[in-house]
Amino acid sequence: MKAKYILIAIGLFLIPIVARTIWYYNGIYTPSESLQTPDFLGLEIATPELSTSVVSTKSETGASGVVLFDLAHSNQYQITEIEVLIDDLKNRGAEIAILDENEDLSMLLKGASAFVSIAPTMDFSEEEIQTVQNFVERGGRLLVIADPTRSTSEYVSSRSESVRVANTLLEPYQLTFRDDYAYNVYDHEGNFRNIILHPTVKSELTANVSELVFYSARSLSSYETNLIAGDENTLSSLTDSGEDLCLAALSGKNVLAIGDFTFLSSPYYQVSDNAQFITNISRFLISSDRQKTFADLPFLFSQPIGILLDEGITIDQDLLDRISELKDLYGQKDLSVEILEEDDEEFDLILLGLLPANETVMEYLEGFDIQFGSQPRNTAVPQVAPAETAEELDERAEETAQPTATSTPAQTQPVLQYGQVSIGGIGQVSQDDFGFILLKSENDRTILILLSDNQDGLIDLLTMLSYGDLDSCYIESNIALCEQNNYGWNPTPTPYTEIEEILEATPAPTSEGG
Amino acid sequence: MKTDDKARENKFDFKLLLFLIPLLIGIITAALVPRPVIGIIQIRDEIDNKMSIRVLNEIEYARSHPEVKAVVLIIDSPGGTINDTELIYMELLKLRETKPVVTMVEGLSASGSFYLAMGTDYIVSNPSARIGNVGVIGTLPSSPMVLEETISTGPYKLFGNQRENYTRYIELIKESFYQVVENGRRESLKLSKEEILRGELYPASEAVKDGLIDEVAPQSRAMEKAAQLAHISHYSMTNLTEAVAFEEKEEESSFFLLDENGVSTGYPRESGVYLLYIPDYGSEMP
Repeated sequence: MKAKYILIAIGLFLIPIVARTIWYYNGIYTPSESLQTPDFLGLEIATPELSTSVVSTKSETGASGVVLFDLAHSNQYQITEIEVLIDDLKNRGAEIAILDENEDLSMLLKGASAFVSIAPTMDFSEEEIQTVQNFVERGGRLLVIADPTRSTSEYVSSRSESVRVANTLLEPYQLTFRDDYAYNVYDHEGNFRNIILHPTVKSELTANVSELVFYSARSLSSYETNLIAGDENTLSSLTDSGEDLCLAALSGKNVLAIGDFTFLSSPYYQVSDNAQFITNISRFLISSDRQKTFADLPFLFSQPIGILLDEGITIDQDLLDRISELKDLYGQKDLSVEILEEDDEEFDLILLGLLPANETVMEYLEGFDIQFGSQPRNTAVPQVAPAETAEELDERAEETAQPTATSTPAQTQPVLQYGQVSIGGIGQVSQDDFGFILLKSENDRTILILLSDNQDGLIDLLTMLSYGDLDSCYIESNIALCEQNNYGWNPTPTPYTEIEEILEATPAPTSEGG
Repeated sequence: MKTDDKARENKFDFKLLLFLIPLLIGIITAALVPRPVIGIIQIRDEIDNKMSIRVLNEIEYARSHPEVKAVVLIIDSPGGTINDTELIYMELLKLRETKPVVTMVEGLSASGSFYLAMGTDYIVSNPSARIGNVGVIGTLPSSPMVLEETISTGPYKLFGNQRENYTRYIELIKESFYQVVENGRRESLKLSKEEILRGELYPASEAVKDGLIDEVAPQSRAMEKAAQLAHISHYSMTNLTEAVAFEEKEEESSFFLLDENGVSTGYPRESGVYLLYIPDYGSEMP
């Protein structure tokens, strides 16, 4: 009986406790199975392999040229950032020139083999764009780099997006930088914007390059040769799509566009084959087959200059003064000028020759379509008729078909009159009225031939050369006709109408500014 | 007869007492059974040192008070520093060993605050909230240099390590962030690693479909879910900030860089590594 009461008492004691507990609690919490922290110790980010390529440190002879770096358009880089490229160019014998804000692009391009514009943010003028275009047409090389991390200038009020400015230079060459950055979230070098790329074609620019890493790069829209591209996972931020996204492209032989700047800088050039690519770019910049034209005056020469005098030229004070002026001019370019007793192929050459041309001078005139209508002083110069008309050709063909009707050339072809000079594409002019400057490149040297029928005329031609100003001359390809008269050279820059009156040429000549 | 009646009355009284006393004691004792409490921790600003100290105090309170049976983390934050985020995340995991934690996203759970949400059992969101932004941002330190007036004893004494290592450090944090997401969402997750690491912000409805969160619902649902996980009912709610009565020191300088009018620019005042979402980054970079 007692036990019964005790049980009831215990029960009554527990009832409120259990009731309250049940009121509030329905069970026991069991922790989730997913209570895992990240495997912090197991995390590892691979470091990239360093390049085995070493940028050239030995001086390479044979190559030369001036590479002009643009710093006049609020370019978002400093030369010190690309010292690897600069050093490589110097080691190859190239000269580095800088285009600053107050300098004339057309003047500096005269002596250059390549023009490099990296991340420009100030507009190029129409004139500058045309100058660069002319430069490229003459065989000069153009490298344009746009980088999404070097896009705008913080300091220039008239700043523009680099991509737009760079595209104004590339527009004539079917190349356009996109206003984007390329990325790859699957396979990259340390960060999604550090993309791994591969060459798409075999060329000198991709020689010995199997893999590159660009560090934030713009993609290119190109109808030309795509050099470097990403894989199918390399996408453009503009569209989040890709498929062989082009990051570097070549237009023709002379225009290279690259969407990244950072790979040129330290230490990024050491990654993968970046250093090799820089070496290839360096070769590209100085290996142009750039044909020197009168537009390059006065910077036609790239090695020591020898002056060779024709027989009959006396070394007088006037001549020495002009040569001294040339020495001063080219001394600024570290080029020596000296008079040679005989031709030396180690020198670029300025040949002064009197008309009518003798046999020695005629050897240098090989390759030019120019004939002189007189017996040379040594009587060895063949006389050649001017360009034949269609009727004349027909007549000659008939004569060939009738071997019996023999006749001497003198009888069938008009002989060039004494004092007349026939120039292909122009016609006949009088050597009394003109002095001639002829330009050619052979065996890696520049040869400039100055011809006049008197020594004063030659000295005046030398003067024009030292001023680098052939505005008063009529230029057809690599031959310049400079008017002379009894009062010296005509200094006015509008000689064309006068020249046209004198010229007997039928085709309308085109001119090229000097 | 009277004596018998008296004895009978006493017996009745004794029996009554025998029943009443244990009942009363039981009632009194039952009062010792605490009413369960759902603690509320609020993360409504950038996650910085000040916030992490406060939240760690609140977590410790929740852990050490048995009546707190569950915690609801209310989030409306762009994230913050990696260190403070990790500190809170690790303590949340420890708390979950004994008590469930449910996240309620009110407006924004981006980057670091999404990191914290991954450390909870269940995630409820407002319909208009934005979720995700998985990733890391950081500014590279200065290039190594020597200073005339400062003497250091090694090439990296001043700057810690090479600039390029900093990139890998950030990448390492990104990888750990992904693991946090993977551990937090497990089989619910519908997005690939690459998709998650794109750093996108998702609307809540899309985040549910992608498995980044569990449900779009009102805040009361977060409480219910916390109660459900903790197996409690008839609970009360306590703002743990008030319960802890944490005395915040007067902050002299803001986490964010302020403009000339004293308005936050959205950019951290100090350079460093952040799990942070900066709206419209770059457009008004100071």
